[in-house]
Amino acid sequence: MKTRHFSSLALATLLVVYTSTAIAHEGSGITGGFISGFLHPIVGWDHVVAMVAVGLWGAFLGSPAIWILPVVFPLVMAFGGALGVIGVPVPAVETGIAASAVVLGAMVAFAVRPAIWIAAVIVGVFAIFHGHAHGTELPGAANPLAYSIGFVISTGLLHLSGIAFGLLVRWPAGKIAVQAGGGLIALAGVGFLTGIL
Amino acid sequence: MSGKHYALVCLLVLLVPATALAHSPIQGIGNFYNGLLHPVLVPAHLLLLLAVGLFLGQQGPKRVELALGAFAAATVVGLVVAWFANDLGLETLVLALSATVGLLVAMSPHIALTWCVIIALLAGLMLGIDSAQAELSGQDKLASLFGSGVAIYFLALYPLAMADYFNQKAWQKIGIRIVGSWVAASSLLVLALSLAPKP
Repeated sequence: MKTRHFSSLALATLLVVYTSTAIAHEGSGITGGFISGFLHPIVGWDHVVAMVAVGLWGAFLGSPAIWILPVVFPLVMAFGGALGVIGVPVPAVETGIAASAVVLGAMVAFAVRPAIWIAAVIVGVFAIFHGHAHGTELPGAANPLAYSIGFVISTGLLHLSGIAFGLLVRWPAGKIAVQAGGGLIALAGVGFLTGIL
Repeated sequence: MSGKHYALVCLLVLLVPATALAHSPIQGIGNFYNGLLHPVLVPAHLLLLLAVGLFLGQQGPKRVELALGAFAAATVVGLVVAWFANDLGLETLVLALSATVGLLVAMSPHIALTWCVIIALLAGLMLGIDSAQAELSGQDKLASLFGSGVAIYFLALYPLAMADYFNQKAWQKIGIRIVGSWVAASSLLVLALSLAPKP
């Protein structure tokens, strides 16, 4: 009996003493930085709808806008992000992000076809607000470079989602669906602006 | 407790799962693999390799053969410098170059061969020099630098081959330009962070 108790105690002690690594911040380092950066545009609906709208509008306008807008956006967004990083204030960032959904969604909904440089300027101006919002988070990121790679890729993939949906404009019913999508994005933007969403 | 029970307990203890660390920095994988992983684990290096590979592939590997040779030679020179010097703090320059080259990929202009060679030389030199791992010395360092050199060549070749292969249809060229803009954007942001005044 005594031996059995001793064995059980020895076994219990052995299992208690057996420790595995305690990880306080699983999302640290390169992986953590990348994941938090990748998720940043996705978990904010205001970012999501605006990014999808950029792709939608690019596809709606056709070539060369279909590639110019998704190239211009991350580059100007990086400029906005740099302003955020070095602490240059940009007024009404959240309002600008919400307004981007309203304006870009409305452009698609009403089938507005400006000259390509005007479209690029409109998208570029809004990219500064989005970039600033991401950039202010950058200094606190686990790994700033991995964070920025993550959010740039995530932004690009949201553009691609918009482009993929926007390619439906080749068919008459698809064009209606794309314009309806633009309308929904604009309405969502109004919701963000008024605080309903 | 019988011998069978002890054996069972030992087996159960062995089966208790522990964390498997893929990049235990980086013990137990040997210095060669340590060096091999270095460009993969340093995002700034990865960005520059991606940018330079895409850039040279976009310009046409046949046309820029000289630049490919320059990249290979400059990497070797950089690794030799890394053998003698540690931690020269080139990350800001690496990011500046990857932002520039990423922008060139996004704009996709026809670049003169001389400039292609200069870009390849700078990239190879910086990547080689910045591959030094200060905590290593002697044969360990040699193995690590050799591993880094191998990884640098392969990691430049993959995007180069991709940009060369996907250079036929319009949407393929657009895809390469978009990736270039992503590289430039990421590099610019972290460049701004490194140049920002410290709080």
